[in-house]
Amino acid sequence: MNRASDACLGESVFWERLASGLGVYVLPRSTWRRWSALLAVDFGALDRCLWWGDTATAQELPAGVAHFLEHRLFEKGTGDITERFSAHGLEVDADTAFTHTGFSCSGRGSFATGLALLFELAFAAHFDDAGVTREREIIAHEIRLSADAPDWVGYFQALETVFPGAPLVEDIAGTPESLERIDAPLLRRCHDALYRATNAALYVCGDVDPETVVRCCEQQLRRYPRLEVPSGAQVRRPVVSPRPGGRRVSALPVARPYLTLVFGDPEAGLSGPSLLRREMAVEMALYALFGPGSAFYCAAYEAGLIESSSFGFEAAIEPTFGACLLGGETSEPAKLEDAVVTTLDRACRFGLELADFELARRKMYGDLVRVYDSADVCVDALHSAVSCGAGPIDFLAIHQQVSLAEAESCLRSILRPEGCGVSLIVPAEASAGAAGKSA
Amino acid sequence: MREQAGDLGSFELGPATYLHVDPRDDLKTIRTELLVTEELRPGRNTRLALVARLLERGTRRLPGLRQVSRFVDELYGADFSVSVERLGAYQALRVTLETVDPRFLPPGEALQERAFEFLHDVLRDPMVDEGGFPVQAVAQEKAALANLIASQGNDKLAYAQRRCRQIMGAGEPWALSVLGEPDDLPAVDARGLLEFLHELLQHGRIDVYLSGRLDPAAGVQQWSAFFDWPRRPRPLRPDRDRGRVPSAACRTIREPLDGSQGRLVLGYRTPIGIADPQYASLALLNQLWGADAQSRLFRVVREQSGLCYHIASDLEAASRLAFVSAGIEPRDYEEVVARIGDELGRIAAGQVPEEDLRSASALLQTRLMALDEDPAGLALFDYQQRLAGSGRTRADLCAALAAATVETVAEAAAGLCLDTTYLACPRGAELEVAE
Repeated sequence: MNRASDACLGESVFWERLASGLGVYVLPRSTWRRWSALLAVDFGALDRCLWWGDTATAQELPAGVAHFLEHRLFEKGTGDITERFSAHGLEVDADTAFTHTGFSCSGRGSFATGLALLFELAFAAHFDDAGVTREREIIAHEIRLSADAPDWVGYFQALETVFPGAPLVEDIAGTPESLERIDAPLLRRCHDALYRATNAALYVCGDVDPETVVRCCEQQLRRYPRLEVPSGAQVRRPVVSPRPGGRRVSALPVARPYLTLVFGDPEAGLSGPSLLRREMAVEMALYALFGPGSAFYCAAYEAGLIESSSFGFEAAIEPTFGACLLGGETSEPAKLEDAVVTTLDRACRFGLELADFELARRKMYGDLVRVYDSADVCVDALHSAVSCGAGPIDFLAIHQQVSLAEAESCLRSILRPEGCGVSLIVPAEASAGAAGKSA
Repeated sequence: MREQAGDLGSFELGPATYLHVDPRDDLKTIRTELLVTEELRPGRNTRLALVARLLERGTRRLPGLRQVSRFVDELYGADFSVSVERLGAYQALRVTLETVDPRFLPPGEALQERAFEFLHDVLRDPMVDEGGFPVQAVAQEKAALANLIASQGNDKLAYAQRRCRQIMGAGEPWALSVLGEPDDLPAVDARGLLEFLHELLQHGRIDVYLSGRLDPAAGVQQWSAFFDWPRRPRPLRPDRDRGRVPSAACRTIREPLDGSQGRLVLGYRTPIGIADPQYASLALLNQLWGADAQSRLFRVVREQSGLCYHIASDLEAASRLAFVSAGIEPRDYEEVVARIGDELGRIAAGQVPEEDLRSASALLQTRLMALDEDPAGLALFDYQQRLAGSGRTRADLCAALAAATVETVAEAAAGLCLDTTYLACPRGAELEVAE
């Protein structure tokens, strides 16, 4: 097997691409008694077109189909597969993200059983009309449940200001209208096309032996011969470039306004170590400028503009898009927006303080080390690195390379005040006149 | 000093002062959690909520939020927080600091010594001014806390759960909010808050949990020196409800909600607490009924009937309570309530296949043993057991889970009394429900 190690942490990841195309990545921890596995299929909410072979035309997919598929895969005709995981004391979960669908399982012992069930969960499909109709109702409930959550609504509304019309501004679960277009034949077609070994990878961390994991995978793949043959179908994700930031305001039943500022990455399209490096650099810049130890944070907190439990920021630099979001609840959204923009404007002109950058670098180092204390977090980190084309354990080595100049360069490229999109959620009764600044 | 029984190496350092050590070589962090526990009483919840926020804001040596934040960043992003933990009739000030093990840092970083001193300063030498916390900081934190309390309504399901608890528990300590009450805030002053802290540190029960690459003997020596102030702990009153058969109000409450979907919460009382021998059966009842995706409520109400997306039961054995919550359309109210009751009734009637019981037991046992790799979870388990006066280890609880039967689970189910059915109903849908 291939092996990638981090000498400082004393950790090694063993990996192999099986003949079927399935990537298998294992981080063994012999002293642990628990293991965690993530089976990631390269099909997510952004994938709205299915291309077959060399044909020039694509089948358009309704919003929410990857998420719908994830829900229905738990139903196996003989009942919900969750019960069979439980019978072995195994935990199971699934999650649909922008660019993948993840099926996770964890337990103590019973790894071979867990893997067999995980493969069955993802790769053995049973779609019937009655079940699909019922699922449509359940997902409609899910959409309505999140329709009044300000952070959820604010997140997508913010993305819409810089990526108007792109699939990533739509709810991962779809819309009531798009759900009507999802039926059993469509789910069957998507599953058959995209749930293949070449389109998936397995990540395992904990009380397991890498060779045994590989053998178990090969054994399981033999149960599903279909998986080993590429379907000829693929999803293509065009690089999404941001537009100059717009402004959107909506009203929800909230106590105070909820402000989210968003910045799209104009240089999206990177992959591998250079993508991780860009993501870390911009994260360090954000932390240096807006982290709890920054001059901004201290002043905004003491002025009552931000609250520690709701103010936050994140950078999502993906191969086909990049975005930084920043914000939270505030009584004075216009003042908070001004404070953020002024801070960015000054930083773009004069750069970052070296001391602030070094603290951000230290903070990130601690966060990266902490990843290896949890099997569940570990498998997510392995997937995050591999899915963007980097090595499974590249994070720490890349972290060491990020310089102040690089953080400043990313800051000036991504976090430009003139590229800022603004999303504001206002309390419903105040929506008529409280739109912060004019559009 | 006495070593105590339990899942961890536990030592009594002084009166009502305990150190619990989880020495492990395979962790990359060293975690310290300190809990100062007292009985939960009206007014004291608000003051504790404020004190927790103020202790995060500075020490005499690091006088300000920015200085504290930069200090923990210097410790390679140490995870530092001061918060409030509530457990049944008790509340605790919780201080947590997690640092990277020095093995993974450049040589010469005296991280642990600095972290230890910092923790001492947080509790014993906070930022003060003229005999109280700084007046300006207190004013800011009171305003921030008032905003936070007001914003609790943003999460509609959590709001409905809180309302149901308040309605059920008028006069009960467990109904008091962890964030405190807005009406208490005007009367709280900077000097009184500092006195409150001193009183808490003098009279509260203290538990310190350590995990990571540690030598227990060195930990005992170091932490014995930490408590360098006079301590006169007041004994915590034991669980007053032990053995009491609950009486339930059986009320139905509907309140209007500004939101897109109805939020339903059913509150139940149970005679079984954490320390009771039937606790394992109660935990299994919760698992079978609604705790997870393989539970009956999820299967029947969501998957088979499509009546909701979220439905779950939740056990609060420290308060002898159980809740079921769901996001529903108001028109489905009667049906969902009936199905929740039907499923509980079936379990109470012993209609539980043996394999379902074994699955639920296997899952709960796996979760308990998985705490081996979850120091925070293990500390919480141990703390809950000790505070309940149970002294039960994970192995004890696993044995009790394995020994539980369909009959003992049925008894636990039969003992649940529905107290309050609460529906937060979107405006405009109220009439539909009333009809």
